[in-house]
Amino acid sequence: MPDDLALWLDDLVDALDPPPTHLVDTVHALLLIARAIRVA
Amino acid sequence: MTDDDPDRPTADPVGLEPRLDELRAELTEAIPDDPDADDLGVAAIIAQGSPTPTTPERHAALLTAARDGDGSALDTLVAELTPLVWHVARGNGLDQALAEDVVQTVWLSLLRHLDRIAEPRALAGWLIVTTRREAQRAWREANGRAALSSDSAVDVPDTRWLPETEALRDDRDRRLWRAFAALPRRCQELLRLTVLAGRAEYRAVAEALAMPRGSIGPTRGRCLNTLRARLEREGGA
Repeated sequence: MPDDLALWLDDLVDALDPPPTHLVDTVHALLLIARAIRVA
Repeated sequence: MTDDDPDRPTADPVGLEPRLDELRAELTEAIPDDPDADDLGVAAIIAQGSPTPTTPERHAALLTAARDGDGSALDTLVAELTPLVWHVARGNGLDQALAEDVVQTVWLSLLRHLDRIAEPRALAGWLIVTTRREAQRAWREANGRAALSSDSAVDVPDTRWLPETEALRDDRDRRLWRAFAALPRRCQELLRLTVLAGRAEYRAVAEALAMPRGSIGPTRGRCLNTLRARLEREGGA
């Protein structure tokens, strides 16, 4: 069971509940806009 | 050579013993005495090998470059550390939509505070602390009352936010998720972060959780025992 739990916890992070695939791109775009506003 | 021989070497000619004692104490603190109580614990996580000693330095260098206006450095930090921010938000009881909002808020906050982070090597810790604060604020707004403090959350199970069922692959996962979601919030956060610790800075995780490094392993072991007990009660183990 410990091994099973360890694998499942890895899955929790990697497969079952990862950040949405679009999230990093969304943040990149958000920061790009925010930096542009700061410069302007 | 006799005891009176002035040329007889001393036991500690260069004064190494005090430093060795410090190192022994650090090892004792970092590695739990009872491996059974920490079968997925600190020593195993460290042994996984991914957390290279240079990671904090690399993140610090990226932060410094971002301060100097290097947008790609900031983008790299976002790509590498968003999973950490995400799991702190999710571990603090937020559903996916709220967690996404919090992740975006935290990175905007970093942009605002780029020049004010006193210790760039502690960036992961700063992100964890900021995310926890933002997650608790978002939780309060969504639920209309004060969020539980970190301390009180230790003993109160959080059953409101079950993971999205479409992500579950089979019935066993569903039982595991249900048992996991019923753990105290502090346990959920700790288990997520210690799995991630293979990729993030484990020491920063320990510091950000405001727990002595030596207590993380045993606490994690207790959380896992609780999870196992719930699974066994459900017949899911």
